[in-house]
Amino acid sequence: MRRIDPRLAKLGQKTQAISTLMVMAMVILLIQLWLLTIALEEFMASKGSLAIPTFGASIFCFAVNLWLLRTLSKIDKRED
Amino acid sequence: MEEKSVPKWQEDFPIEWGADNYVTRREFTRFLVLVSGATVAGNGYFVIRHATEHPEKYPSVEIAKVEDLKPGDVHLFRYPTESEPAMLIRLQSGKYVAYKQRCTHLSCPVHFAASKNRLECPCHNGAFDATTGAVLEGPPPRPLPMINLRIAEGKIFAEGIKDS
Repeated sequence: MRRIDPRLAKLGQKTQAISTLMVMAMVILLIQLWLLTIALEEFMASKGSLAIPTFGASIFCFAVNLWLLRTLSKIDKRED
Repeated sequence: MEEKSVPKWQEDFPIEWGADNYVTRREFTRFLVLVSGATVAGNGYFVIRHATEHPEKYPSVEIAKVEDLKPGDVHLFRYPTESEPAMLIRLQSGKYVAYKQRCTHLSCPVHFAASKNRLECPCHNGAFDATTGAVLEGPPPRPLPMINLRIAEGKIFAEGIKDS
């Protein structure tokens, strides 16, 4: 039976974790762009009922993205 | 073993293109987060604009006389400023309605199709309901802004824009 080098396995796990975090950051950014277009549409229609909810949701997304960046930096710096 | 000869310029400037343009995962994610922050700022801008916006006060302007328009007729005027085209329509039912004439898609002037009782935009085939201003088809994202009307002493007055 072929044995996998534990260091290589760990490296693979690390790469996978980092890629997952990056994709999550991208998805969250897309959600934020969608929220921005909603706010813009409301503004163009001279309405403002969704301005604050979209702003709040966007701040939440930004906070999650900051946390993802912090986690990614931690994983990236970790010596295996 | 044969030693690879390195040109003189490369000895003096040993940075490779690939290494110079290399973007780490962390840098890329940092860029994503930066854009994420920019979108928060964008949303914040709309909140500030909404909070600081005062309700517009529209003038009361006489635009036509009741007897000027027969059912199916259109009268063009400008409201609330001279640079904003608008149209007064007398529907087949006899009711008067007025709208801003700019399509909500890309601001092309719309025209009244009396036979279909709708307002049509020739640029991208958008259509609005002539009675309500609602979008019937095409790319316009919002209804046509309706102008409030008041009829008094045989005269028709424009008095503000209806909230959609």
